[in-house]
Amino acid sequence: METIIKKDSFCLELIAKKRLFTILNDQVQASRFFDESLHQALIDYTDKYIQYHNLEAKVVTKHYLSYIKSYNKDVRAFEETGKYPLAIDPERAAPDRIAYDTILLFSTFMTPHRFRIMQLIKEKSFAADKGLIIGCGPGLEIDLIQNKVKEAVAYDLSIAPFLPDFFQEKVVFKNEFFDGSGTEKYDSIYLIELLEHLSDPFELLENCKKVLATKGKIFLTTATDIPQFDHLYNFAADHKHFDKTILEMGFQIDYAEDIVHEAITKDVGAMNKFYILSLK
Amino acid sequence: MQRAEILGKLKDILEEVLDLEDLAVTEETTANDIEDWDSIMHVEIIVAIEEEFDVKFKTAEIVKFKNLSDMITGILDKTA
Repeated sequence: METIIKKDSFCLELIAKKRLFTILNDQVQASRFFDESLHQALIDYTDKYIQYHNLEAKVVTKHYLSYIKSYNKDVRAFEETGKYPLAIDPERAAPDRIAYDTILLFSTFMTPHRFRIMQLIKEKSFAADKGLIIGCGPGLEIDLIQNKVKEAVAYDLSIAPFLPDFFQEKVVFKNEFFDGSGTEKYDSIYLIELLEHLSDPFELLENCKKVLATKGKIFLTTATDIPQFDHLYNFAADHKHFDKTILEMGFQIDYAEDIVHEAITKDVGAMNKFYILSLK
Repeated sequence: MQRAEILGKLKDILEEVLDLEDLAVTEETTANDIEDWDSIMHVEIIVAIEEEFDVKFKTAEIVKFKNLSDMITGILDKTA
């Protein structure tokens, strides 16, 4: 399927103009999971984010291409050393919040694996009173679930100005680390593309367990062999240790899906795994 | 254009995009034979080929390129 050009969309116009983006987006549209409504939702949200921050096409292009080149080098280094970038250089500089958000948003319609993660969030989320999103980043997960939760609280160490303005009273934003304190219970908790950024992901899962409602569910992803500049924890591909540990913690696995990174050529065997957990 | 001539241009493109020198290639050369040729670089190589030969490939065609011979055939099909 070739890219459909919709008028007045910053993202679709950029995809149509920049051949590299056209090819990457076409790969997503050709994937077996593709659905037009989700693709449009991702494009629409990214358009709004970019419009709010008044970003120009050349700036967005530069952010994404810089990231691709940087990730490429990190993959090389990972192949040679088996180490993630932060293990090689603990002082590694990160892009600023808006640049990072742009990369994250674009990659949802430039890479089939991130498209699939967004699709699972949208499809597997259920109607709930209270939702908790930890590590909300550019806020796309909130947008995908906002009609399913009556109230939501979102945590991130750096909240982009767009989020409180866009979601307004629907979501309470907390610019801090979630430590599990408080008496509030949540029906659905989202830890999407977060655990790999922590040195001890199980500590966060323990904290989430404290605030999970009795019949609540945790939606999470893990990352294996993805040497992104800010990843700390590499989950073993077979997930035996992860599965054993979460079962010992008192969770049960309601759903699990391997999301192998689809690429034209084989790289480093990168994959995500999407889980839905509940209390035993 | 002859296959050998296209192979020579592909060699130049690979050296340019991958920032390599004196690359030894044949029609049987695959991405696995060249260390820096990964999935992202593959897309950049395709973009450079499209610009050089003034052609455009469909996603299904790009995925089917298994070696330089497939690319040469693809270019010849588009420029015939």
